Amino acid sequence: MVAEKVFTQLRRGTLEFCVLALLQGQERYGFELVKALGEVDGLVTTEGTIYPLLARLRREGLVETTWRESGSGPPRRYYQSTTEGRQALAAFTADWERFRNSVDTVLGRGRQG
Amino acid sequence: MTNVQNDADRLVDAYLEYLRTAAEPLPANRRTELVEDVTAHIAEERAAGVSTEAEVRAMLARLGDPDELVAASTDGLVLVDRQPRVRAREVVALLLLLFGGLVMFPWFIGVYLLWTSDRWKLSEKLLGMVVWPFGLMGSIALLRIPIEPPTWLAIGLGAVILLAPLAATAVLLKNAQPGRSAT
Repeated sequence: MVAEKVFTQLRRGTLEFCVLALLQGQERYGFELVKALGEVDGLVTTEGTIYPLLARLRREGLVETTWRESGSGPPRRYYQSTTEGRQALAAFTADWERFRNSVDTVLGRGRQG
Repeated sequence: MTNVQNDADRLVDAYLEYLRTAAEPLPANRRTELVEDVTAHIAEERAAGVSTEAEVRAMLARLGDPDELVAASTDGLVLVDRQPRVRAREVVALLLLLFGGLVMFPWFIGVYLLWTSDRWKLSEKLLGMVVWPFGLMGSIALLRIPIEPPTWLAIGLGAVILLAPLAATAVLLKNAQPGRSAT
């Protein structure tokens, strides 16, 4: 129960960098992003909340959008990472690896002792 | 088959309608974008084969509660409950002050509402009493007092007696906005 709360927070904090990671070297439209994130276990609980997140990333200048015609149906909003987005992702990745190793180390030590 | 289609459509329509309503407190551009994105998402899902009622239900469940989507869109915003500019309570108070005197007793209710309102300052509540006892009936009663012969002064006085309550009411109505009370 406590872990559930923690993971809700963790997901909220890390999901935007997962979005940025999926946009490196490749532009994607919203639905495609949502589905790609949904395929990863335990990352997305409510698909719809990814759209407000994308809107926020654009407001913060980490992604840009362009409308493109789709073969079928209405035009799609495509997202691509900006330079700021790439930099933010690089900074997060370095911190995340350090953080993950630290937590793993302490959890492992606890298990042994 | 057509019935199945209709049920699925109805579910989608109800979901989007709920979302539109829930998103009303958002700034217009955020609201439009959220509804647009979710509408496009549903269209993509349905184009990809989601068609039966059960499938549509599962898709909407994956999308999430509209309230949750709106909450996720409030990032960086401060949502404030905006009160109506003039509440019915104050309008009733002013109407009773003006016209309640016609049948006497309601005027006292008007006075009660005036003094218990949190929208007016003390000075404005006193001004409310310039609306003569029993309101316009009071004015009419005062004007009935015969002054012989009618002079310009008497006519001027009559006009003041009649117009003062109306002017006071107008001032009180204008000042009955939220967030400026003295109490």
